[in-house]
Amino acid sequence: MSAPLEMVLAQYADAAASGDANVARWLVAYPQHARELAGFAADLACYSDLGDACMEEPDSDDAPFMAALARFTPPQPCAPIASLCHEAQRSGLSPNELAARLALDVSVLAKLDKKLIRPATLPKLLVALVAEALQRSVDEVAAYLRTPLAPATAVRALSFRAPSAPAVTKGETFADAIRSAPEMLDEARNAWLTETDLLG
Amino acid sequence: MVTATDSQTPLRRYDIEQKVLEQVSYLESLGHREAMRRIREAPNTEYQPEAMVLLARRYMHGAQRDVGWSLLTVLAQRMSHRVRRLTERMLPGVADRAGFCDDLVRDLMTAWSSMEAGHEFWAVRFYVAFDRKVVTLCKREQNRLGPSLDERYAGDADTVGDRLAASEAVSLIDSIAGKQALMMLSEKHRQAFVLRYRDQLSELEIADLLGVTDRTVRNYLRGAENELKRWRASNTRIPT
Repeated sequence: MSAPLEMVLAQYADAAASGDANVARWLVAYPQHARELAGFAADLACYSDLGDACMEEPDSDDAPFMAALARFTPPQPCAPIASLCHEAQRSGLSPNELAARLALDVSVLAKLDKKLIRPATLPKLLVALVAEALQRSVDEVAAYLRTPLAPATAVRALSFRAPSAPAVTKGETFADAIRSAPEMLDEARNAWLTETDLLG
Repeated sequence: MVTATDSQTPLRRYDIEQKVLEQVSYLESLGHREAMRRIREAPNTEYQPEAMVLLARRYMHGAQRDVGWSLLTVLAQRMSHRVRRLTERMLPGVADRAGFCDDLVRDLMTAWSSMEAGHEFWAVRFYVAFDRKVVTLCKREQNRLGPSLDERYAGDADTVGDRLAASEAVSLIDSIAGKQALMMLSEKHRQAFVLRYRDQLSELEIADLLGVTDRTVRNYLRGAENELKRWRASNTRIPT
């Protein structure tokens, strides 16, 4: 497996700090990072004397940076999630890619997106994974999944020309959705069913 | 080609240090108000920057976004000295660093608060990631401010007089004032100079590494030496 660049650089920095950094050896060991390593080694030679300095309180000489910090306005919280699939697309993920990241069948993702699964039956792990994939907080995702389906949408989701009068669906459980997913790998299905078992 | 002179360098796996995890766990157990009070009042050496990044991310991706930002602001304030030391070396004499500092603050705060892959390392080896980020932005600023030394010294190789002695170059790299001078060189000149004199790679090896010809490497080296000689002539602190 290829060594992550950050780890290679950090370890080179450690070696350099102890006076044991032979660039030639490192370049041979990690040819895939040779250019970054050479640049890093040259830069490090110029500021290695700073060491891992302890953090300090700012003084008047730090004014430009402190002024920039005072001007900085954190990004405003995002608008509430309107749809999992739309949110995924904003993060550069197609519905299929999002489903793959969650180890779910697309049909289950579609049910989640349309809030056809009862929120109380969703594993926390799933909510956390969705939040991570969409780069939103767990609370934002949970809030989306908890929001009840608008009645008109809920009714539309029922069978057309149903034999009985339409009523708002209560939704199926997550476990049922997983069991009925047609194209889910057994390994993923079992893993999610185990998660739902943990809910009791 | 660069050839191996020694055995392969094994890569140690970096994980978040136990001490960092303990600090985060302890601060979380206090509740956010008390945690912020302790961090603000504690000596700067008390809590590691990795712990502050990790804790801020947990706050921000939980329900306490504002607390997370406050914590990152405290961290940024405490890093302002290091920012100044690095920028004084790489961007000396740039009177108005406002635009640069705005970009730097935005990039740092974004990276510190991000849960995306690629930003995990801030919670593992903070100073390595920090210095790289600041130096990268400084290089970008150097490029923006004017023609690079590579361009200014293109074709200088045949017009420069005596080369810098190797021992002279090494002592320059090792001195603090010399490090400051090196930081002002363009990236390619600096790389060629340090790799040649400190790491003793041949011009051919450096050429292979940088993807240029050995003649271009000689140009880089002479350009760097020329600039360093001028710098030394106007700065008596540089050892000869």
